[in-house]
Amino acid sequence: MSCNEFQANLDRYIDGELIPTDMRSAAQHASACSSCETLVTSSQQLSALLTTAVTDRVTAVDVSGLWKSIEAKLDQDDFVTAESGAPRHVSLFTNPSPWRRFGGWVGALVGTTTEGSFMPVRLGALAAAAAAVALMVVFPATETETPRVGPATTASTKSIGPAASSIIMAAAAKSRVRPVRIDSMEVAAGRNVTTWMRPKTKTRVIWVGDSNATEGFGVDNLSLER
Amino acid sequence: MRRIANIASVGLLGLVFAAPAAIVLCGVEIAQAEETSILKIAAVLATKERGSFDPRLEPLRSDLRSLPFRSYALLATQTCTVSGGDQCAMNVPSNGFLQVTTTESTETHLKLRLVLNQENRPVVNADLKLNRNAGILIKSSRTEGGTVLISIKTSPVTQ
Repeated sequence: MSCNEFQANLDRYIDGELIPTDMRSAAQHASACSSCETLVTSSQQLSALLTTAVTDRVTAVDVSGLWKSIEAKLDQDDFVTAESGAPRHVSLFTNPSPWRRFGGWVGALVGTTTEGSFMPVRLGALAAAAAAVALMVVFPATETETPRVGPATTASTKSIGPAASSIIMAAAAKSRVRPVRIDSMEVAAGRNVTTWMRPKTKTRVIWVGDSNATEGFGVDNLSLER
Repeated sequence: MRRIANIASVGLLGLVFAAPAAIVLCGVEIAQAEETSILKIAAVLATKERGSFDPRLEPLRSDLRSLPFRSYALLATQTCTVSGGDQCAMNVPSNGFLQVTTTESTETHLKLRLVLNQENRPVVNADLKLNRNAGILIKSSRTEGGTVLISIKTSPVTQ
């Protein structure tokens, strides 16, 4: 790869968008050509500077007084009921707490802010909100490890590009989070793969061998850790 | 009639509460800060003949000692500081090339796309999620001199 070709593909190289063979050629050129390597370094530094600048601007935004200003605004506002024909300003509660005011505001939206019907509505709303929050919080927390290739699992095969190869998409979903999770893996044709975890070091070993299994590392001759 | 109205109100309120909750929580997930991480890649030549253990591989000793080799030598290392979208690549002995692209980097984990080429052919193409301070160890190919192992470790950038 020449310097001109490399510089024409510089952005795609830095973004990792080149095909693997071009990536390799570009990387080899960059490692051999000091001027192109300098270009890569300066582009990466520029990218890092931009990222840092944007992050700094975002983190500099002060939202600490946001809720207080909302509360102050709520205190100023009166609620308008939809029960009467014409909108009118009313005081819903003699000693309105923020929660009751909020409930009254929601009630006003659905037209159920009468003294008799508000409590069930408020309870229902709270229950619905709690359920929604619980669903949203619980499901990400119990993230599952989908594709796990167990210690004794050997890959079946599928293609990488034109050649036949292997694809591993494990079916069993585990409910606990693991230090290393394999979302998908493909290995070249004529290869098999075995993986296992070393919990002490939080390291997952990915053992790519030949399909003829003469490479000396089957499951039989090793005490595998799960 | 009033009961039906109450039930309808509860349903409507459920939507009123659930939608903002979903938006807020999804927003939190999306807006999770991109963190910078350090990827340390090492290529190791392992042989079954009795030999020495390269002292530079001491941090990997506990990983390597379970493997069926008797000697280990460090061939090459590569250290990259990455955040989401960055890549880290290195030439692997025995005409190989490893390309690691960080697809996501957060406070708790990294998501990586790993492509290992040998002889200009992809050997492994994997999408992985690594928690902080976790790592992977790949046994890639045998050469005349032994077997090439590739270690990838992640750690947060120390300020």
